[in-house]
Amino acid sequence: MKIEICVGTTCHLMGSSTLIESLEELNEKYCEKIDIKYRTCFELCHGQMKPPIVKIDNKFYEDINPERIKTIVKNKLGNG
Amino acid sequence: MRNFVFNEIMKLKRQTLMEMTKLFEEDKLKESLFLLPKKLLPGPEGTYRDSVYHEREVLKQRIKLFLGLDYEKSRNLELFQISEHIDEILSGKSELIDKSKKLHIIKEGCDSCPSGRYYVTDLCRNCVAHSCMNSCPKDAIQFEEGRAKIDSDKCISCGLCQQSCNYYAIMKLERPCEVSCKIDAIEKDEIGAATINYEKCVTCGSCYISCPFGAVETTSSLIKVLYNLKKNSMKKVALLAPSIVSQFGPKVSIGKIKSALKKIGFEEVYEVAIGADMVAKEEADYIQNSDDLVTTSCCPAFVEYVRKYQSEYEKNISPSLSPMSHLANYLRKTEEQELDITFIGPCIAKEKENFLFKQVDNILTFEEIGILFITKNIEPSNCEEEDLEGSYDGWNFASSGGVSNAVKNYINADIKDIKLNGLNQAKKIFDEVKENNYKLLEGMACEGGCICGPGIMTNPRIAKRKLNNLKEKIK
Repeated sequence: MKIEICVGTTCHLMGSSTLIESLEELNEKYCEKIDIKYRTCFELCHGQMKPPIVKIDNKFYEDINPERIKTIVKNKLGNG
Repeated sequence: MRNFVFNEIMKLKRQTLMEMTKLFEEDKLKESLFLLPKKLLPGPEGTYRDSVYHEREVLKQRIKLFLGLDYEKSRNLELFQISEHIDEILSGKSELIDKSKKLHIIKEGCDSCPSGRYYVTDLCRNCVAHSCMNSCPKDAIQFEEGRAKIDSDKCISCGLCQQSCNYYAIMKLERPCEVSCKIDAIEKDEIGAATINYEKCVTCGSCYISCPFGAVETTSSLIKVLYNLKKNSMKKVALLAPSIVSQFGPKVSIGKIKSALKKIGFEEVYEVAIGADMVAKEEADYIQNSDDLVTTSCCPAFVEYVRKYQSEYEKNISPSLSPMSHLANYLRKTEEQELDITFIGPCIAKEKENFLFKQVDNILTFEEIGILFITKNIEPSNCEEEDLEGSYDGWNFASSGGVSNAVKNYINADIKDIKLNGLNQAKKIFDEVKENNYKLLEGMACEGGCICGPGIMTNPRIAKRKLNNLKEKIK
């Protein structure tokens, strides 16, 4: 699974750094099945989507917080 | 070290400031200011509180603080009344500004949380012993509906019931602001809302961090800085506090922040670490020529604490200016042009320091320059890398222990030193200072140092790691 987290200024100010920490925890749990990449800006935060924005397997998700990203990852990867 | 959690209050504050700067840049602040509460909180339902009208009222007060106004002086003014004076306010000439106060309590937002009282929780198992009832000296505990209940009219908050309960079922209700303030500067007003006793307060900002209702707020100079960038002809200079390390996430180095600030319109950007190097050398000289204890002077909240609570040690405070003031003072002497200096840091006590020493013109926090980057559409991670000039010792002023280390590196002999790491330790450390013969006392009001300050954006653990990494990068 490829997760791209926007760490550009707008997403950073809206809390994207907290996502990095929670994903690192998740990655340990899922034996490094997650490929985490930092991205600068998807250019979607100017009215189209609510930051922080995350791209998971080529699909964009908006207004992400640590709980929501955990739920998305768990739903996609199941329990294994 | 501060347990840093990103929360909804930070989000709301940042969104508010962002909308304000956007309006300013579009030259619509004057005409549209009064529309902001409705724009940010469209309703009809409340987002955070029961009523959207209540939320908007709190936001209105917050907007006035973000314009730099004093809460008490502007409290009863509507936003459209403020709009009429916007130029006067942003050029710093308004009578509604009071630079001596940075922290304010928005009474409309204060939930007047109960404090000092005891409360029996669901954990009460209606046991046979009834020790709580028996331990109460005022007969304040009765059993109703299968659970102990405290009669608040009779209760004297002695806490004996809590100590006697084996299920930990009795809680002491506390106000986060009051608990976080280590010098008891938070009091109650006539209606029970929190109020700051400015005679006691040292502006450390712990109440600001701790209030879960966002009722403790600071004034902002952000719009004023934008105004200056547009209208003021002086040479604009930015000073970066050492704790800026890692504040903008994994892709933004300090060197990139420097060039991003230049793109915004600051003609020169200096590292306060350079000022820190000057201060460390000066303090080392001073210590070597003094027989008495010397305390550091870089943390304004610590200095204020010594003046107010350990006044016998006021004479021991190092005569050096803080690295910020020292560097600003140096620049004003060496540069030919008149300067408009903006300090960028994690600290809110700096405003108080500057009220006394008047070395810089504006003080911004890291999140405020983040908003500046967004407003000006500049992404620091895409900017060029610039070299760093300060030494590692200078940068390390950002962390507890860093200042005394830097000073000691300038002294060849071994000296006996002690650290006051967080105001919660202050009394204990000064008791120890009284008993022993220390040469150097490093004082930092925030536990962990400036990387744990009230205006940080990154977890201090990450900042500490990044700070250590600097050791290999610079000498």
